Amino acid sequence: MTDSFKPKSDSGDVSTRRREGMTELAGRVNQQKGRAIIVGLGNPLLTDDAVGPRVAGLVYDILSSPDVDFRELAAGGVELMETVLGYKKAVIIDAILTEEGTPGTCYRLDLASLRPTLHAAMSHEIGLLEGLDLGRRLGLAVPDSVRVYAVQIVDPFSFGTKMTDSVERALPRAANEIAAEVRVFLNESNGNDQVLWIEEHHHADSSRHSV
Amino acid sequence: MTQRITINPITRLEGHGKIEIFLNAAGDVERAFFQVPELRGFETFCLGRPAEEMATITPRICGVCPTAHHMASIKALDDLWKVEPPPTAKKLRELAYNSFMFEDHLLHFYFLGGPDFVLGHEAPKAERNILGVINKVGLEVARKLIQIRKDVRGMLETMMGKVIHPVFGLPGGVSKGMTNEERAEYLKIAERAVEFANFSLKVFESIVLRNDKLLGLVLDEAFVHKTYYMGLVDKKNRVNFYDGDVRVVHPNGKELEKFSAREYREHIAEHVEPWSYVTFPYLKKVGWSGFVDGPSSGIYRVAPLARLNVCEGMATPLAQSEHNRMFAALGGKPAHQTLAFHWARLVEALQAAERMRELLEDSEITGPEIRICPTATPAEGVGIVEAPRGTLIHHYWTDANGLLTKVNLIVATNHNAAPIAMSVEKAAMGSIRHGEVDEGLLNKVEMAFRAYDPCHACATHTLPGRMPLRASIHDHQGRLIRLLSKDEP
Repeated sequence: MTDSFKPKSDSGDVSTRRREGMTELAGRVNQQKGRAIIVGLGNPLLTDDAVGPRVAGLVYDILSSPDVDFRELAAGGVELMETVLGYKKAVIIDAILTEEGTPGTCYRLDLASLRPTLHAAMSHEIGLLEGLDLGRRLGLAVPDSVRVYAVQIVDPFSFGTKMTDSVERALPRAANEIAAEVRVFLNESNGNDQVLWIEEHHHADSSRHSV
Repeated sequence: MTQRITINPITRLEGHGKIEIFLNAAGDVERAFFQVPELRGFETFCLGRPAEEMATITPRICGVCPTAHHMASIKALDDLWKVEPPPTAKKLRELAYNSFMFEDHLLHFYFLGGPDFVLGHEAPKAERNILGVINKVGLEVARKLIQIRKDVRGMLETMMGKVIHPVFGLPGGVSKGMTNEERAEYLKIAERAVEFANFSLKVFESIVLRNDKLLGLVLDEAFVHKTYYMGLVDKKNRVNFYDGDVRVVHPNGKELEKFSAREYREHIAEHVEPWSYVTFPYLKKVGWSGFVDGPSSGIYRVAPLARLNVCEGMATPLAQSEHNRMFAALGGKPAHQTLAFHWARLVEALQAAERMRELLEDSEITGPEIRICPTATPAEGVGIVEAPRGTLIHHYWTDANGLLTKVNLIVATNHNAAPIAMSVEKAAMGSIRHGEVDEGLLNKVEMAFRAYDPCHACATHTLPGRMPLRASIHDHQGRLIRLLSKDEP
């Protein structure tokens, strides 16, 4: 018998965590929002791809702040930009596959490494920086600061609601470590991860912060 | 503890679009293969689950077309339980679906097709992106787009609970009705949607149609494939995104066949190639003849241009007028120019907006009866809708308890897989002659498949948001002689 369907984020689904305000999302970006948002990127049905929403949900719970909202999202580009509109700070947590990474390792990604998409081939192919820059140019309320974390995973390609054991085991530690950093980040007056606008940023070695 | 390491974008989740090109002894293209990473095991994942969960599971297959999967699933569940939703529920579903089509089509036109058309394929690489498009059309247009998209998605959020993962459709109806106050508010949004779709067609006219170079690009033989076409039509053979019969037309435009959702397996077969996990659907009546076009090849196309080729007309007056204008400019119907998919997309956006308005002008949409509870014993159900990217088929089999025993999904990009492969191959052929590789190869390949707006689920949420393209070119002995890549450091 297959495992019963239970979206991983149901431990705190978007419609129920903060959450009254959050269901208002797209059309009412300026209503009753916290100062910051934590976005878990990923598909809870794709094995380890659930790690973004899972860790983000845990981080949200650990922080337990009325000033912080949570959202699960399985889209990038314009939708991601629209999701963070109206917040001063945004923390995005995603999955990552690196060649040598250990499952569960957390990285803080340098925004400069998320270079803009110059040639979007599909409707979701608009990068984070590009989306934010678009919002800024349109005069929308994009966050002052954005921070991005990624958690090393094993399998994001197979359908399944159970993460691989090594990633599952690493979940609490990853959430605690990211939460500790995010708490500091959110308390900083202006955050230390400024959005690097497209016309300003240059490609450099991307830095990761292994926490 | 902090460590600095270099991120290699190759290792992020999105994977690559891989193009393998094999040359003959003369150095010309013999074959080209286009591959993308595929997700595994969805059908197995579904087995044993209650069928009604499919309406919430399938929107998570992909972050791009969740509403399409939700709607196809709900229709399959209606069929599974043999229950006909009441008129109000059908209208609410159709309203939600047209709203989704409207905002999705416009997003594609401005942000994805835009760099090819608004700026032109010869524009410098650094300008051929969204920001370049905005610089060209002006900030005000982009603001209008974001605003109307926000309005429509806000409406969908209220109607469907969530935009991305709707909790709206139920077997036999919908979960929530509409109040008169909401209807009045949404009608204003629909009016603005019609206005913006019309405006967008004018933008297209002023920027593309009045520019000989860009119009020439649309008509360019390098982007032409004479194939069969497939799409849903209503009883009068007009375009319908939500419901109807599947109509197939010959490359000469005449109807080849028309069938109901339940009959699709009698008409569509799937070809398998050893080099791809993707199956290549074709028309059984015509047969598989390889990756070639023409009347003797069962390859067909779906999505906006296909739907307009298939129909005898649009379902709304303003869209009908634009339909006529488009085919007049393209040299008649059917039109085989792949890049005209972008134009057809705008005509469809206008129909979607007009249909939103029509449905909201109908007072029955606020009726109290929004669901008929199913009582039949389930066994098998099929649901078909037209997703923005083409015909989407959901087919479920269950035991008497409604637990899934078999699932078959044919998604839009599946239908177009063979045409996309052909378009990529044709673009490669035009860029490699006698072993000389045109540096614009990858640009042309991208333009060829971007018109289809393919949806490869692997790339739905990646932060960089791109799918790097790599082309490996092999000589006639299979040796790798050249590697081209794009959007990699």
